[in-house]
Amino acid sequence: MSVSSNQQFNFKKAFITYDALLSIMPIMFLIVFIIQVMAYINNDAIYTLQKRELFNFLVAAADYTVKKSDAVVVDSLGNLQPNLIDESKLSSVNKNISMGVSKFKINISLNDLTYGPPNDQICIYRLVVDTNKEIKKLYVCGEYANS
Amino acid sequence: MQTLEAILSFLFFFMFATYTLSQMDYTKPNYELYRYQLANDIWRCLYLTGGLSYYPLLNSEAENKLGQIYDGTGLCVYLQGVPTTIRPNCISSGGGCSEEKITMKKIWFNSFSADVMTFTVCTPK
Repeated sequence: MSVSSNQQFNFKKAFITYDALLSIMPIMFLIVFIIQVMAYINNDAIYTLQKRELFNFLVAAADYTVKKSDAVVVDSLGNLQPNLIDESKLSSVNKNISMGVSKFKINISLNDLTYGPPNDQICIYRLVVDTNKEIKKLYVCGEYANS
Repeated sequence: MQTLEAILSFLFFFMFATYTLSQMDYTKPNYELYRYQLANDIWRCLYLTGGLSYYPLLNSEAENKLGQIYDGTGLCVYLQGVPTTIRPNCISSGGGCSEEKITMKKIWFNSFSADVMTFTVCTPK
């Protein structure tokens, strides 16, 4: 079969094309690899920052619950008794804080000293005394509302 | 080709900058305030349950409570530098506080006078 002169297989052009292809492939792999590493680092940074934000919120919420919330027992002179907690009022405190903050879901519960975190969320605890004069752990757990 | 090199250099720089920023201390939770609050909680719990009524002598009930607090939290308590949590990790000669130690001054009122006491809470070494 005859081939016209302008349709002849050009070995030189073909070589250049293959050469370019083989050069571009590792560069593309490198770029894809870098983008993947960047995505991983970014996700890690976002997770760390979110964890810090949530931790700070939990610390503030726990401090409010222990010192100023409705669950804090009031003595006969009308003074708040920080760290003295009425367990029966904790659910309303939980509800109030949850209503005020839409970004996080939190859960406040009172447990024995030896009791571990009540769920898989990020939790902190404070030491409080219940109305029976028992020292207990007040767990404040939370997570992002959209997670 | 130069454009490609510029893109690659930028990507490397961006990756390095992001990683460096993400490793800085300010991105990680700071536990200092929380530890201070926990130390104050222990003081308040002892106060509310009457554990400090006989200070500087702690009654056995207060010692039991401090033992329970150690079992639940891993925190040792020292009053005026003297270990008051009766647990081997807190009182043994090789024991003592780790670097995560909170020391605060507390005013203690008795019948006729007021004393300032050093209250220390820490995790054992």
